Parts: sequence; structure tokens; C-alpha cells
Amino acid sequence: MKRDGSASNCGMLLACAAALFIASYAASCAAPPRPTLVPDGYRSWSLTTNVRLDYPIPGHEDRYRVIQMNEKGFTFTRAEGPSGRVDFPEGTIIAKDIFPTSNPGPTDLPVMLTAMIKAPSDPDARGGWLWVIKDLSSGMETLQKGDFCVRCHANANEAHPYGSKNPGGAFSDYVFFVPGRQSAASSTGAY
Amino acid sequence: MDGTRTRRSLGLAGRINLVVVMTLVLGLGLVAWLFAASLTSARESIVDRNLQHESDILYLSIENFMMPGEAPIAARFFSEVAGLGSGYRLGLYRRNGEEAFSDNATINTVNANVGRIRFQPRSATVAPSSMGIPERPLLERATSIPPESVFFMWKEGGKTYKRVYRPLLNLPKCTACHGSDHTIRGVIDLRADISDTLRAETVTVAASASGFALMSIALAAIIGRLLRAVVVDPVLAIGRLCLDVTGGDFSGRVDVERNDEIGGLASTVNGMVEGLRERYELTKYVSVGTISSLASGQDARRVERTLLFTDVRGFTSYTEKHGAEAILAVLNRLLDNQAQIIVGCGGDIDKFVGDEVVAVFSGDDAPVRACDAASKIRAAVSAGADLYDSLAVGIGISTGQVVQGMVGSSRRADFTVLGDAVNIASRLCALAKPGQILLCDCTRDRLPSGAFPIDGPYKARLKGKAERQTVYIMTESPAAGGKKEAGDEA
Repeated sequence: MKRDGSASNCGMLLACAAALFIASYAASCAAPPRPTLVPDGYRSWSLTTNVRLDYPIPGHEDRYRVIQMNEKGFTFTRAEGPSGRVDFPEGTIIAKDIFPTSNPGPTDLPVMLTAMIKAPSDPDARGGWLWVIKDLSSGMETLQKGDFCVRCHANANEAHPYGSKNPGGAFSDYVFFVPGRQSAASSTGAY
Repeated sequence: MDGTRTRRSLGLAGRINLVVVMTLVLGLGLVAWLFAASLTSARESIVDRNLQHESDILYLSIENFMMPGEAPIAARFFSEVAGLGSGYRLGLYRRNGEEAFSDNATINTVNANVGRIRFQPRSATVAPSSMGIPERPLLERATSIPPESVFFMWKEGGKTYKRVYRPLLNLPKCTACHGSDHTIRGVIDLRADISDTLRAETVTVAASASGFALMSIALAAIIGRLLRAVVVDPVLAIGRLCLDVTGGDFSGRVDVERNDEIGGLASTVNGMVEGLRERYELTKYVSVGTISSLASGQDARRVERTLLFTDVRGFTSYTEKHGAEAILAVLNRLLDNQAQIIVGCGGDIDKFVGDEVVAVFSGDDAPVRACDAASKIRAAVSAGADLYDSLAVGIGISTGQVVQGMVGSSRRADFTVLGDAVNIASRLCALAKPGQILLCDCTRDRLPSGAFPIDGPYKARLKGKAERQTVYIMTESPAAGGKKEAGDEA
């Protein structure tokens, strides 16, 4: 009988060891968690446009928006000549605060942050950018792996209704408000 | 009902077969299930991917028709694609679930947004058909933020469809006509008839399951037969051998010549049976008292016993006239017959000393059984005179206190008896004539009256005894009693 008991214990140990092995193997295969994508101090960054972004647009409706970009983003390149192609360097972060209303008061805080992070080699990148939605109350960042964000922003690479409107259809690296072009937007006053 | 339950236990072969079958069923069942699951997954993946690609193409087509303001072309394109085949259905729904291209709602909105009659309203419209209730949650899921393509199964008209709701975004470039107050315009509803695929998949899975089942049965039979040959049959053979040994047959052996655990077990059992056989054979040469003393201990003790001595009369002269083989043959027949009678009467052969037999009887009726044995020996030897070359035996019986214990050296000893009763029995045997049985008075006194024909008492001088001893003669027929001199008879 003792032999049966020890055999049973041995079986249990083997089962536990197998379970631990499988769990550790699965854990080793799982993708490591991403570090925080948008740093907390992003509100100290410079704005990409002086246009008041309170007009309705698909995706954000008529909620007031403020767009900031890190210093690296401002080193973007713009091709000379008619193409005027714009390319942002890897590491560019464009953060867009979304407020709850179109005309928030001075004490109102944004409820959500949407961000574009230039990371062409990242497998989750769409159009060379990571598209992130951050819940500002919980701090949780959600990577958008679908084509929702990039599909809208692809319109920035052709003539569009916002800011400079990009009448020449220059490639603008998925950014509607490229610094230096917003004067056109200001002048239109359409959006 | 007597309350007694009989539980049928499964034999070793049955248990092994059960384990084998369960293992195969579970193992192959798991493989079959994984196969079916992977088949279904692969099929769904292919169908979903195709639907996704087709919906992407349609999306881009609509987008590229719409942007130049060719909505009617888009509507016609949609209508023609929808009619491509019976297994392929296509629909376009607004985000509120109403079917697009069926009324003037969108045309009116566009005309209002562009501030002119961009499209002429339809002259004849039909009320837009709306989605059924079951589809609403899927539509809401597809048009929520962020929107996503929703794939689902759908049964209609006896057919099974795989459907996708592909959300249509209100892109910035669309807002000039459609306004900026919404993000999702609606969904493309694309459905593919997968009834035939499902049927083929079911047939494949059923065929595979049948194949796996047949394979399970075949493997169970093969493994069961293999295990029977390797494990069960040897174990059963060992069991049969043990039964034979229990019945006293030590001749059998297990024929398993293998260098594994079963072979080792068989070898051990064979060795054990051989050892038992040797011990059994030893009982022919060692008294039962010796064997039982080995089992119960070797302490000497004083007990009452009845001693029976027999001796072949005239054997010395017989040996001088006959060859050695003939002598041993006759002697062994004679001793064997006596031994069987003694054992049959409950006596223990203490030893054979040449042609002499020394037997010990114990128990309250020991004198009766000893006399019975002596009587039978005399009758048997007399009846078998031809077998024994007319040799006869003299028999002496005595009863009294003896010391019983191991006598000998540490290397060789016998469990035997010592004492005056032994000596008297030996002297009576020596005194007895051929076919004569002499009893001491102690034995005679312990016999029930009339149990044996006893003649005497007689007086006899026994070697080593100063006084003449009282002796009785067991006759072959009742004789008149009377006090006689032993010298007349003995």
C-alpha cells in the first residue's frame, strides 16, 4: 500500500512540475509588457497648431482638442520642391488631449488622450505610427491595432478639409497639422 | 436478499485492456477533437480572411466611386456585385440599420450639405428594409468606437452563411457631403454561403472520427494481445503453478525465458517451487517430529509417547544369500509398506535403522493406534510373503515417559526420543519372534478392554533390566488369558 501512496505522490509531483513547466514556457512566450508610451510631462511640449480645435470631426465629434508634440517631432523634414513631402523622425510623439465638451472651462481637464508615436519598425505600427488611446483617469494605454485611426489620418496625405487642407496632396506622414502650415488653417476658419 | 453482495472483480487482462482502451479512446479522441477543431479553425480563418479581403475591395471601390461624386455608379456596382451568385450576398446598411441606396435620405443630406442639388432625388423609392432584431447587437458592435469588422454565422432558408459587418468610416474627405457629426457611416454586409463547406467538413470529421475509432479498436486489440502475451499469460501461468503447488504437485515450472521483470518473477517462482519440492522430498528422510520441531522450536521436553519398533527377522542371513539390489528392493518394499501403515495410523517415523523401523505415536489414543499399526503390519507382511521373500518382522511396543528433543551435533541432529520406554520397546522388538507383537504392561493397561486380542501376561527378562518384565503378546485371534512364563512364549 505504501508503494501505491508514494507512486500517487510521485504522480502528483510530476503533474505539478509539468504544469509549472507549461506555465513558465507560456509566460516566456508571452510578449513582454510595453513600457509607458506617452510620458506624463507631455503637456509641457509645444503645440503643433494655434488653430482652436473645437469644430466637429469624425472620431472626436465636437470635443475640444489640444495637440502637443515632443521636441524630436519638430525636427521633421520637408522636401523642397513641389512634392513638399513631410517625414517625422522615429521617436516623434504627437499627443492630443480630448476634452469633454467643445468649450471647456479653465478648470475642466481632458478625459482622454490620443497619441501617435513614430515607430516604423514596430510590428504594431500602422503607416509607421503606433496609435494609442490613453484613459487619463486610470492611466491605461491601449494600442489601436485596427485601421480605424490610420484610415482617417491617411486623409492627411491628400487634400483634406482641415488646417492647411494640403491642396497639393503632399505626403504629410499622416499628420493633419504639420507645424508651419497652420496659417492656412487659420485663414480658412472653416474648421 | 440475504444482504450479501457479490462484487465481480475484473481480471488482470480485463483491467489492462480497459486501461489500454481508455487511453486510446482519450488519446485518439483528443487527437480527433484537435483535428476537427483545427479543421474548423482553418476553414473559419480562410473564410474570414476572404470575406475581409472582399469587403476591403468593396470598401475601396465604394470610396473611389463616391469621392468623384459618382454615387449612382457605386449603387449600380453594388447591385451587380450582389447578384454575382447564389452563394454570395451583399448589402449596405446605414448605421441605424436601414438599407442604403433604397430611398432619398442620403441624397437629401448630401444636397443640403453641399448647398445645391448635387443628386436628383429618386422618383420612385421603396421603404428601406431594416435589419432584423438579432443582427442589431452585431451592428452596434461593428459601429462602436473603435469600430471593428464583426464576423458571425448566420442561418437562413436552410443555408448557413458566414457574414461580416465591415464598418464604413466617415472619413474627413467624406465630410463635405455627409457632414462631420458622425464617425461611422454604416456597414457593408457581406455573406458567403458555407453550407457545402460545412457539409464537406462534417463528412471529413465523421470519416476521420470513424478512422480514429477503428484505429483505436485495432490498436486496443493489438496492444491487448501484446500485453496478454507479455504480461498476462506469464502471470496466469505463475498462478496455475502456485495452484499446482498448493495441491502438492511440485513438478511444474513456468516457462518464461526473458530478461525482464516478468522473467525475473518467473525465475524466482521456479526457484521457490524447486525449494518447496526439495523440502517436500526431505520429509521422506526426516521425521515429521523433526520438521515440526523446526517450526515450533527445539526445546527438549518430557512427554508420554508410545514407541513401536519393528525388525526383520533373519535379515542378516538373508543378506548373505542374496545380491545387494535384491536385498534393497525387498527391504525398501517392506519398509515402505510399514511406513505407510504407520503414517496411516497417525504415527511418526522417527528413523530407519537398517531393517529396523522406529516409530513414535503421541496423543491419548497413541497405544491404540500403535497396536493397530502393528497388527496391520503383521497382516500386510504375512499377506505379502511373495513380495518380501517370506521375510517376517518382529514388533515391540512400549508406552511411557520419554525425553523428546534434538539430539546430535550443531551440524547434524535428529529430533528423537530417549528414555526407558524406548529401550523397552527396542528390547521387546528384539525378543519378538517372526510375526510376533510384544507389548509392555504400560501399553496393555492403556488399551480399551477387548480392543485387541491380547495374550498374557508373561514374564520376560529384558536386557538391561534386573527384574523380569511383564509382557503381553498380541495374537492374531482372541486367546484365553492366564499367567504364564514368558520364556514359554517369548
